[in-house]
Amino acid sequence: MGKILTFLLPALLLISAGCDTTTYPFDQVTEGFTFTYDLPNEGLVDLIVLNCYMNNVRTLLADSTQSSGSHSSSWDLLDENAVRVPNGLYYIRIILDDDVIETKLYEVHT
Amino acid sequence: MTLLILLLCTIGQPSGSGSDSFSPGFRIGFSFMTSFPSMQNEKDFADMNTAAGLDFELGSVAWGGSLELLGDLSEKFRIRGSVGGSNFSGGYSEGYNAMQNMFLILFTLGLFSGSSEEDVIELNDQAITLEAQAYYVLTRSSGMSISAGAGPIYTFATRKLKSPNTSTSGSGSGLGFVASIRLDQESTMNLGCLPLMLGLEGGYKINSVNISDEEADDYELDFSGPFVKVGTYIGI
Repeated sequence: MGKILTFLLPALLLISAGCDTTTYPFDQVTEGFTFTYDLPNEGLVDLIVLNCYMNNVRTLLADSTQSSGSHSSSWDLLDENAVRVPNGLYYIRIILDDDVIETKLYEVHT
Repeated sequence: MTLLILLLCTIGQPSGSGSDSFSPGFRIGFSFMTSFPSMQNEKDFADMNTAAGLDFELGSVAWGGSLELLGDLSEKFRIRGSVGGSNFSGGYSEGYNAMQNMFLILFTLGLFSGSSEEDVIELNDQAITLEAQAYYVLTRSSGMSISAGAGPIYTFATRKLKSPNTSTSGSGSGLGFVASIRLDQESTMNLGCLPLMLGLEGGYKINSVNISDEEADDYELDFSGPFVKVGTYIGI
């Protein structure tokens, strides 16, 4: 019995450890948040939020001239009609001079 | 496909029940289907996930099956009605820690092994289709027949996207068109007490569905593309 426990205890610990949620390559958000992005050069910047159907639900920044380097912006989880977006996956596209230079993924949930 | 044609030609020879004289009748059966849908929007969606840093894998093939009723109206005309379903999927999964799995297997003497992958984001597009098709029989012998046909197809589709804490789904329906060529066994082969007939069908479907939910804003699921079906039928 003791020998069985000697094997089973670490095994059960490992099983429980294996069930832990790993860190995903996207952020899970429940409220408004700030994000940063880097621009390789100065230009016209657009920041748009797309839902999982690739529809634009919010424009955070439109045709704004920004210098190269690090910048930040925030999204309050509201759509263009100031209504909180439904739970789901959302993508923030950073567009510089009409080219998408970065896409950030967020899981919005309550 | 060549193998199946050879199989049909070999085992499709009259087994006592076939004859050169035509006799109208119906057959009912089940077909397995594979198709290569366009799904351009889903490909763009997968690309967007990849751009966001995920190794998002999208299938290129949809799998499904259908319950079919075939009827010979005359020696030259045949009809088919069917209800079926197909599934197209993709997703992003993460592997468990390999070292952790190794210790788990060692400690439990192989009794337990952790799942190698965990589905983080799952995309499932499902379609239920109603098809009605009329065929012209190009050639018919006692063993087999070849026919070509076309007809309408009505598709009900759903799109489900699951992430660790959320689930989004939308649905819609749409009318389409299907054209195909069928190869049917005309004589029965006995499998136990069941008199069976095989059928092979290949063609092209044009059926796209717009998701009608407000959030989706007419997002298109395009199931259009070539398909192949293999079915087994019983004469009734």
